[in-house]
Order: sequence, then C-alpha cells, then structure tokens
Amino acid sequence: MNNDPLNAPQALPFNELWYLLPLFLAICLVFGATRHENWDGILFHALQNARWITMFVLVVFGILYAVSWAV
Amino acid sequence: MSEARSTEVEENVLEINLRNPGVAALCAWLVPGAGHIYQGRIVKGLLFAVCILGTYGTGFAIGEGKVVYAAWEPEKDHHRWQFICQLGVGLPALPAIIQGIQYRQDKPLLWNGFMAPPEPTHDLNTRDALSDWNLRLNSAFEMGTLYTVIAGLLNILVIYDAFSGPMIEVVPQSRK
Repeated sequence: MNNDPLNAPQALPFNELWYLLPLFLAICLVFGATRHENWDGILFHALQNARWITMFVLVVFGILYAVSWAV
Repeated sequence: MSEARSTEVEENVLEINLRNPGVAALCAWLVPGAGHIYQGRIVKGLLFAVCILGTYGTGFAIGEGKVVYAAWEPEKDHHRWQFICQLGVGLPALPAIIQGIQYRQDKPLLWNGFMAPPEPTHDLNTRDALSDWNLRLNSAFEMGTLYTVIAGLLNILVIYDAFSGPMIEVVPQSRK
C-alpha cells in the first residue's frame, strides 16, 4: 500500500464536481416531491430549485473568483 | 386511525388519505418511500426510494462501505457526528449502531467488521485504521460521507411528508 500522503492515489476516477450532479438532481426532486402531490407540481418545483441552486453556486463562484483575482 | 387532509396545491385541492400518520412516519424512516407506499402514494414513494436509497447506496459504494459507522467516544476524541445525519435513512444505517455497541463493549465485531468503527490510535508507531481509510480512499471517503449524509437529511423531509402531507407554501397575496 502507498503510505506517502503526497503520492496517495486519486480515489475518484472523475473530477469531484461531476459527483455533485446526481446529488443536485436527488435534492431537487425530493424537495419538489415534499411540496406537491402531482407530477407537474413536483417537476415545476424541482426546476425552480435547480435554477435557484445553480444561481447561488454561480454567485458564490463569481465572488470567489473575483477574490482570487484581486488577491 | 385514519386521517385525511386537504391540501391546496396551486389551484388544485387534493384529498390525501394519510392513514395512520405515525405508522407511515415510522415506515418512512425505516425504509425511505415505504411510508408513502403504505399510504397508497405509490409513485411518490418510489421516487423517494429511488432518490434516497440511490444516493445512500452510491455514497456507500464510493466510500467502499467505510463511511457509515457509529463512534461516540469524546474522551478519545473519536466521534462520528455525521452518523446522526446518516441515521435518517433508517434500516440501511442500523447495522452501524449494533457494531458501535459491540465495539464500545469490547465484544467481537459482527459480519466481518461490516460498518464497524475504526480503531483510533494516537500513537505514531501504531497503524491507525481511520488514517489508513482516509489515505487509501482519499477524496472518495469525503464524497461517500457527503452522499450518505445528504440521503439521511433528505429522508427527514420525506418522513415529515408521510406524517403530515406536503409542505404547503404560503404565497403572499398581492395588495389590491
């Protein structure tokens, strides 16, 4: 086994951000389904949540990018 | 006991038979989606089961089964607060409690150590199981933990939905 932390194997085969997509999907669908009973409502709410989370992540990304550029 | 609840969703008024809400909530905790299936809300139950059990199972597989364990020994600085969230998925996390009890009572671990807490050591000359897991699994340990924690937290919303129906959003009426 490799015991050197600096040369530890990369355990995830893909970039970590790809692993957030299924989580994002599950969270949006479950949120939507706990607020509606019919599929139209569930999907509409899930899309609204997806849009809101995406905007939030983009704003945080923008702030962090601006900070990293400024420093 | 049978309880029916009317909920106003947009313009539609739906009558939902929650049957016995306590039993439904217990079923929803034990197996995500089971509470809704018990109430006859089959499609929603299946959606919850797929989303939550899928997320939990994926996280468990990414973390190679090491990410769900119960450890609470603050005196040894060995505790796993994430397990409180993971416990939200019910039955799939319960073996960890049994292993945690076995571990605390110094009894032999069951099922080949499945879901058993790692043995912590603070001696630099002794191998530390948790450090080994972190080293070997690297970021997969964190990602598996995140998936299983999120699954447990999502199931709390599902338990609420099984107990009292969908959360109604109050839309503020515009002033005339």
